[in-house]
Amino acid sequence: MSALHQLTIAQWAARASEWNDVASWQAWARGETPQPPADSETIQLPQVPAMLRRRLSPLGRAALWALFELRGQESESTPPPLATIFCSRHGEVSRTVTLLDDLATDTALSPTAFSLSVHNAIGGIYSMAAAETGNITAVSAGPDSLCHALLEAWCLLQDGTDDDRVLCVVYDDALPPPYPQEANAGATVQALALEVRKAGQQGTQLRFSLESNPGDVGSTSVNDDFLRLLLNPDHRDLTVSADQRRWHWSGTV
Amino acid sequence: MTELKKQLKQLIIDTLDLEDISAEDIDSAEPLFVDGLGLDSIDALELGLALQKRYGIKLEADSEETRRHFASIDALAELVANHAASV
Repeated sequence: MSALHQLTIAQWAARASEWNDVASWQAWARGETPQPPADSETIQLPQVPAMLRRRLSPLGRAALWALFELRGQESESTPPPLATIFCSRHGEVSRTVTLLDDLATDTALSPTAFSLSVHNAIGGIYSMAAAETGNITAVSAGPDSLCHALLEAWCLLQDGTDDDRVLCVVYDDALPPPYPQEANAGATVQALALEVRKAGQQGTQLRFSLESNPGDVGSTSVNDDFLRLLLNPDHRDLTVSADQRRWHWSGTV
Repeated sequence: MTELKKQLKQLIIDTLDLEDISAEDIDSAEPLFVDGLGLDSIDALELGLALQKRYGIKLEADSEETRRHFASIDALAELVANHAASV
């Protein structure tokens, strides 16, 4: 696939561990130190009933917070089905490491931790909390996972969805020990939700292409780089290198 | 028995991450699952594991007997007390 494809990012919402407001993200994109509002570290998530909320890790809370930001106040009591893509390179890796530690010491595994460690668990909780009956996909596809999620969104839009938009959330936490901590460099975005529409709708217009490129290895900060692309009108080009793949993204006004 | 029931309530709160609930909020006679406290099937498995770890009680995952023991705090306390008396 070397052809150019196009899509619209109609709106976005993003969380870092210490802020989630647009002004802080703009400061971050300019290379400044954000001054977030005092209470921005905690995620309330009133849209999720307490008995479901207890099942969410901080990462899951961040992902759902970003999605609910995009959904806003729903005008209809039963909104139409809305296709949603959950994308994470490592998913709930902290839960998995705990399970592996337990296995290594012959400790019985927690059924709850096991059920929540699978890649579509956060999507499942979201579907219950939002009463979402639309198509839900869970993607994990290497260092360029975000790009694959947007390709999936583009495909869904070409294929015809229930709605004329697709929601996409990409989320990752720092890898816990014993993973090498260098792998965590340059990742500020914890969760980034994107409302994707066909090209030519109101929002940021993006073109993208994908080519095979033997020798390319993964970059670690794709989610950060992509948010910078959305935030910086003067620097609307992004090349993402991954396992033998190379993506080109460019923005048009 | 009162002390055991209090202990079991705290075990449920800690094991099942019931963040907004304290032991006083749980009625000993009230159903634990679906109605009442509102626990679900994953909680049942987790609680089974906790009982095994804490009291050495082994339960069949899906037997009628287990359902009866899991009906309420009162029923659980009876199970734990009987088990302690039998070992």
